[in-house]
Amino acid sequence: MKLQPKRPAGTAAIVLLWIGLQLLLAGCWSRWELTDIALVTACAVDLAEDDLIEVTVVLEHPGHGAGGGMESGGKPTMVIIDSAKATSIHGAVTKLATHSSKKPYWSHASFVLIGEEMARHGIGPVLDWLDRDREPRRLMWLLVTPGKAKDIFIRTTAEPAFSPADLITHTIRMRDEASLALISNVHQFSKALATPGCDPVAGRLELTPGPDGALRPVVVGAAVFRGDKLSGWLSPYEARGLMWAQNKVKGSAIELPLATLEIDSSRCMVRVVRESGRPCFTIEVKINAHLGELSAAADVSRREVLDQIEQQAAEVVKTEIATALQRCQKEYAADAFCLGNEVHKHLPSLWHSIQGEWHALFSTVKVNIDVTVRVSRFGTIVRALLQTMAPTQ
Amino acid sequence: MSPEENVSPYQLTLLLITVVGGSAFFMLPGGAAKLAERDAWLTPIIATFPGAVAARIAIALAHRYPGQTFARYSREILGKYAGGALGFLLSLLTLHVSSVVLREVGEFLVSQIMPETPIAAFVSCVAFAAGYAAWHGLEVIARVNELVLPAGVFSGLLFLVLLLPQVDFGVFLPFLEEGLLRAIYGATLPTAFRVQLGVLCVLAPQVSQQASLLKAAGAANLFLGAILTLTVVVVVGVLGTAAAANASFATFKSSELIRYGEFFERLDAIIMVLWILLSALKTSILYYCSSVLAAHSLGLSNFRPLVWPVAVLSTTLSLLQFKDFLSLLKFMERIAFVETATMFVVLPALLLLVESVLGKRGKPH
Repeated sequence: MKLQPKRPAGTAAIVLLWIGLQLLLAGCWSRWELTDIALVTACAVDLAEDDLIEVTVVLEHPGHGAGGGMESGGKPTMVIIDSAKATSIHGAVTKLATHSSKKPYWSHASFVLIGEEMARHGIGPVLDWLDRDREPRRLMWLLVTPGKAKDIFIRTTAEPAFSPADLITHTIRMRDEASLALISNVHQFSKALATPGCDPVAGRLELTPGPDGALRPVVVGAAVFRGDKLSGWLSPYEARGLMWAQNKVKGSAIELPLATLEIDSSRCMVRVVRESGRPCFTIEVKINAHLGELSAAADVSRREVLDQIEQQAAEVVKTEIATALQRCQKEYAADAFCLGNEVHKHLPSLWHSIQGEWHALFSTVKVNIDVTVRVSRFGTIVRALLQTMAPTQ
Repeated sequence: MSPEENVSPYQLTLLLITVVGGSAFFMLPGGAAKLAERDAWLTPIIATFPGAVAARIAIALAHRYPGQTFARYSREILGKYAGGALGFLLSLLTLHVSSVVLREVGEFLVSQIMPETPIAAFVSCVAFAAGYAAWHGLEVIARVNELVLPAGVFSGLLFLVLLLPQVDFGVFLPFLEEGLLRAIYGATLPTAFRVQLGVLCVLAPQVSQQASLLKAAGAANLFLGAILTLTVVVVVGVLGTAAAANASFATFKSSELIRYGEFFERLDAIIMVLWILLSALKTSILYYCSSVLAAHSLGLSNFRPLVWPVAVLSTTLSLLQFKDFLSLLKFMERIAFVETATMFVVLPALLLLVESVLGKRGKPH
């Protein structure tokens, strides 16, 4: 026979439970209130003298002072730029915390900026810390800048209403308008790094003077890595060439003599076949576009004019992909197109025989590029505006 | 046997899902990616077979000895001492499994969420909740589980669906590059979880309709196969094989990649809440099984006096048995399979074999 569950031993149990619950009311052990933390909104990593690593952060003290962030019209957010040097990233980060009046909190950092020297030296340690520590997120953007990374934070003068970190974050958000800058986050970069037959790519950031002389950070082009070391840069149009192949072009303008096209969508397929013991690739891109601008010389009511525009656009895209590929193959010997991974996925036996010498082989493999452009829409008007003018006497 | 304690076949299905999924959902994808690499997604499918075997053996024994738990019929088949020892061994191993479950959730909370809190705080809280539930008996656990699990499955599915657009199916190619054997080797880990369906050898007598045992267990097994395969596909497909294999807690790691628009993100709390809830429920079922097995193998009629000793031992064991996180991982990858397969497949199968050879039959109750 089973015993009935005992009735709670009356008041004693309830009082004990009540006292016990009071202890929990104080909150949890590892809590940090908003008033005790400073948000790291971005960080820059540079190689300093004596092989030290210098970490520079942009810290925001939300509604600093007594009022707290809840008060509208309270004290404005305070932005602080600080840096520390150590032999490791983690070491520098802990030093930084001792400079700060509030605990730096990394979960809201939106990007990490690497100086060129550091990038050429290898960013493996940076990635390891970012991935291992529990605060930074894998969705942080990874950018490389020619020169010192910390200079970007210090020298930016455009739009002083924003902190340099926020300004760059907003710039990154607008990249899809032109698709001339290839961006990747820590997650995508690490994934490419760990994929056999694939070399990672990061974004490229530089300071550009505006017409008023104010220095503005701009993401443009791309940074090609071989393993975790920077190999070199891609120009804006080369970056777009790589982006066609990686399905990353969201919106962009293709400028032609007869018209300028705006991209609606683009799809890329990479095929690989075995040809006398070597892989042979076909990069197939299919693009849908609409007219963004039309020159007076083009009469789109005639099908052959439209065909001509489509062919010219295909040619432009093909050249961009070919130039980017050429640069990766001949100059950097870095497989940013992840062609090796296509061999591994579809011809595993071939991959096993070539994987040891893939980087050498990559520079000489044959790649066919096949681009189709379809212009299916015209915008809010059809013919060129000048063609609708009344004939002059 | 307590005739007033009754669990419906539906509740049994949910209990079995909790016992397996309560830890597999969180621990499986990373380990499977490590053991089977690109073919990790196959391993939960393969593990359906050993799961079915474990459940089938337990049900066969339950049908031959209606109303009796493993520890009772092992005494009938092997005699008072050998049978009692076998039942007690199963009780100890069940206690050990519960201590591993506690350590998993404790390690997760300390290393990923609250590093300044001692692990003993988390482990003993979960153990206390589990012990409290187990002391009230299976029916209470089943009812709580019936409330919690559907909500848990819903949020788990929501989590997976939100990650689905980011899944890169290319990471699963080339298919079976290192042969089917590698995938079967990788399947040892999901098997270690899945054969825990064998807790049926303690739960079966409490189920109201004995005829539906097979259906209830089969439903749990198929559901687990489907949801765990989906979990592995999503987590490994999103992180990539290398990152999934290297992550301390791959399912949790993938949660930081969920972002829709500029505001819908940071869903790691879902994983945290689910893990704490499900591991408390799973532990309570294991505590119940362990104390019932111990009671019946010692010839006691009531398991309740044993629940708190089991909880205390399991808490202590969970804190003491692993030196560090790496030894927990090594245990999961190498030893857990041997332990659970022995508990829920080898021992019951031997018992069934001896029973058929000797032709012993329990007296119908």
